[in-house]
Amino acid sequence: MIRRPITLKPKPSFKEKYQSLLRKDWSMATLRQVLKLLDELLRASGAALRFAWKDSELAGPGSKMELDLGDLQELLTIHRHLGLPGMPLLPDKLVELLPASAGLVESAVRTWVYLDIQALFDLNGETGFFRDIQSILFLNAVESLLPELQTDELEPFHNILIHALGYHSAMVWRDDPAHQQYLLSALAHHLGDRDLEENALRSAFRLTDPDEHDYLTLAQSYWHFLLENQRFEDAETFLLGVYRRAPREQLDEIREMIDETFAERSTASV
Amino acid sequence: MALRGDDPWYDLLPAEKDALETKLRAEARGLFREGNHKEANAKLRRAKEISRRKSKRAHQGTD
Repeated sequence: MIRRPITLKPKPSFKEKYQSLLRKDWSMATLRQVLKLLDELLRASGAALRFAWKDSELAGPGSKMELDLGDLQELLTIHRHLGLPGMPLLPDKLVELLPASAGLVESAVRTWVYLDIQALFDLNGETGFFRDIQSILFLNAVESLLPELQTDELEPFHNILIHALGYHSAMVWRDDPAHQQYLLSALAHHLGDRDLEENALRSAFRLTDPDEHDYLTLAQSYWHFLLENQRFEDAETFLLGVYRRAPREQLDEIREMIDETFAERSTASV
Repeated sequence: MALRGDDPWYDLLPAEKDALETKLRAEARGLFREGNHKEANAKLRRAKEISRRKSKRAHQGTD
């Protein structure tokens, strides 16, 4: 498949929109705002997406990149070949599913396309900014969209999105293995795959230096995982290791976590 | 905490990141204590996205 080129050219105003998304709680409303920012970024780059099976408001002025059922079938083929073990079944055909698409399904399809877009288009220019927005889209999708799609009627879209999220984490973040593993841990949590979640969370933590901003947040994420699974000894051992390596200004917070581990342990043993 | 190699062009400034992530981590611990693990995880994921080092900008100008 020949990937069509797009040179990404964000407007200065997109910085404030992106920062506003970082400050927001995550919900379906936030997810729609993330999709809108991605639409605006493509439109500003002269590449507004137009979905060929419906009249989409996404198009607007400027040159349009048309996506048709063939593109989506192509993405499904990629997912069939690359899916991780234990991934859910993909639908054979989309034709019957899409004409009725509205609301939630439309959000699901747009999220899918935006997560997979690097497979369809050759992105140039401000690709880093684009994938940072995709990262918020990924986490919002896991948090808000996937649970909404867990019904019999919408299961095909839930399953497609699971594959798209797995593909996105594997392919788009190859140069940032810590974030790649973190995204995978979020997906594994949704799937209830505890082994994968633990391995991915632990890898994300180990791949992060103590002087990175997200070091303590990753430590707390893994600590939560251990407590959720009643592994109090592992949690204590882990925190003592974190305490030894962490910068001085974070030690109070780690001591608080150690105290809470003892409290959780005594509560669980009553 | 100021960090090496940050590219602040699109990202929040370090002081705001510090404040937001510390607040979200504390809220996550509170929710976890109350047994609300789902919301605690959601807070931590937001903290992670705020605090992680963002992608580099494309090259600007000439060498």
